[in-house]
Amino acid sequence: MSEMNQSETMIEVVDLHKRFKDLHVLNGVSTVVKRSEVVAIMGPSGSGKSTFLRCLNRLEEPTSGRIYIEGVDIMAPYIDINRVRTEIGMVFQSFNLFPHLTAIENIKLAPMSVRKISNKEATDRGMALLEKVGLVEKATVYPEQLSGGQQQRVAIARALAMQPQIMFFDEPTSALDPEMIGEVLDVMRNMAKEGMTMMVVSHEMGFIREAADRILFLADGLIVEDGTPDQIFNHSQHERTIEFLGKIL
Amino acid sequence: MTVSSDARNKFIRTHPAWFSWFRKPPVIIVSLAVLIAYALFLLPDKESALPVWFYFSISFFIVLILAYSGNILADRGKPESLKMGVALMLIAVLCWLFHRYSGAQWHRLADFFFNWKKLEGNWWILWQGLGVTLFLALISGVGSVAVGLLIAVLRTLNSPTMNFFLKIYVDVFRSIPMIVVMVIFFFAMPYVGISLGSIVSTVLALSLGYGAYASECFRAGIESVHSGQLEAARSLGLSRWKTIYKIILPQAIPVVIPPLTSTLVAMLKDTAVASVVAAPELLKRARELYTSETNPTPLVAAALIYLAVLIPLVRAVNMLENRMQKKRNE
Repeated sequence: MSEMNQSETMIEVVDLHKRFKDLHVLNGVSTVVKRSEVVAIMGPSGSGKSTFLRCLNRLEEPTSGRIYIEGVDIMAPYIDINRVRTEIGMVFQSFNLFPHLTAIENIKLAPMSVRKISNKEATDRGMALLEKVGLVEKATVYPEQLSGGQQQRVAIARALAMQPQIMFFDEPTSALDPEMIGEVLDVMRNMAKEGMTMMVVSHEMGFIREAADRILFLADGLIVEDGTPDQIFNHSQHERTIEFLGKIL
Repeated sequence: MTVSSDARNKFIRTHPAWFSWFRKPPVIIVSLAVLIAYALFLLPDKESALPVWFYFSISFFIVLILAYSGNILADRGKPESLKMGVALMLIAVLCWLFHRYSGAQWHRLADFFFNWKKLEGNWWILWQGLGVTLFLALISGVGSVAVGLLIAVLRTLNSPTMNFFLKIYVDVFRSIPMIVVMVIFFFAMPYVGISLGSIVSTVLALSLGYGAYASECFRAGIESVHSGQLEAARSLGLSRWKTIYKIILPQAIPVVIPPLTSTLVAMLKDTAVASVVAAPELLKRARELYTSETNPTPLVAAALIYLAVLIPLVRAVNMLENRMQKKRNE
């Protein structure tokens, strides 16, 4: 993908609001993500990071606002949201592998039942992805027999099997034991290098500093700062950001 | 780590293990003697006593014997063999009391309960009845699973309007006795021009009624699937229906099977209710035989046939539940 036009807009969000009854989680978020950009989303607990990400593929239905994926308004009534979601891979904090299926079956399920590709093709593609995340030997193993890090890598392979244009990561390493975080971040680093467009909710400073092109800093449902890791980490002007970074560093 | 002697002394037993006086062997032996004496000399004869004294003395004796055996059965310090002996003694004494005061004419038991001669040449009627019972159970079983699954799946759509009406349906059928539904279908509906017949009334009533119960089983199973599963499936672009039958149901069904089987066993038992709407099932056929032979042996035979069919099923439910429990504990 990297040879494509780097300035092409992948995601455009305009004035996104999300209310849960009386609780205003998002208060008008607007941003643009370009192709192959890696955007980290940071912010204190309850700032709306996860909700923001989940609104972008409408796992949460936004209250108002516009979202354009590759230029298409996905809030429009004629949109088949399931087709939009095939273009956006999502990785969850709690892995959410399907426990009744083996690793390779987890990966094959969506390509076969949504993309309608053959079992053989899906298996080939799945094994290639397992190789990429370093788990070929675990193909026929059920999730409960895998460690957290291995489960998360299978979950990444499962998302990639749909050949998405964009990958969302919702705190992918928060549920992992410390010694397993590295293996998951390595896979994510490789994806970033290959030019995948990524939005990552995470507080892994090392990873963000190294792999992210931009950081969105959210507080109280608003983007309070938007800049490169260097700008945010070293030259932040904003009181909320400085306070937060002071706590986690 | 050292524990101070003060702290240790706090936990040391200051009284003997056999603390309660009423659990000591001499007391137990003496009170047994008292009970025997009571039984021999104080219990009234059937004919002679004053009604008040008659009922009081028997009730008091039952209270005493329950207290006596309870005292031993509840004592963790006593050997199990002793407890088994006491339990058997309790059952024997209660049977003896029943025999002595109920006025039952036991010599007629062989003639009227177990008079198998009366059934000679008539067994096929009972087997036919059993066949109809199993047929009713099978059809109503399929019907109620279908109804239950439909309701449970519709409820996953979380549509407030639909849930409102589905809840009314489930509540109505869980509140109304099955026999009332059957009787209305069979006896009342013909007056508005709908004649359903006994078999159809039964199948309809059981399917609709147990469908409501089955839907609750399915709903519990579906709710046991973590919401993250649904999110993962949806984020991969799976449609609602594909999410349900590829992700949710395969995980819910193993959870559902034990309670669902239990519900279906209850339904099999309730097919006997169909005898009031003249469905020719086992109980109805047994009652016909009872009338024609003027002998209740067919009823006893029917009871035994129900037991022979249902005890294995009840055991199977138990095994399924245990297996599920084990799986959950792993």
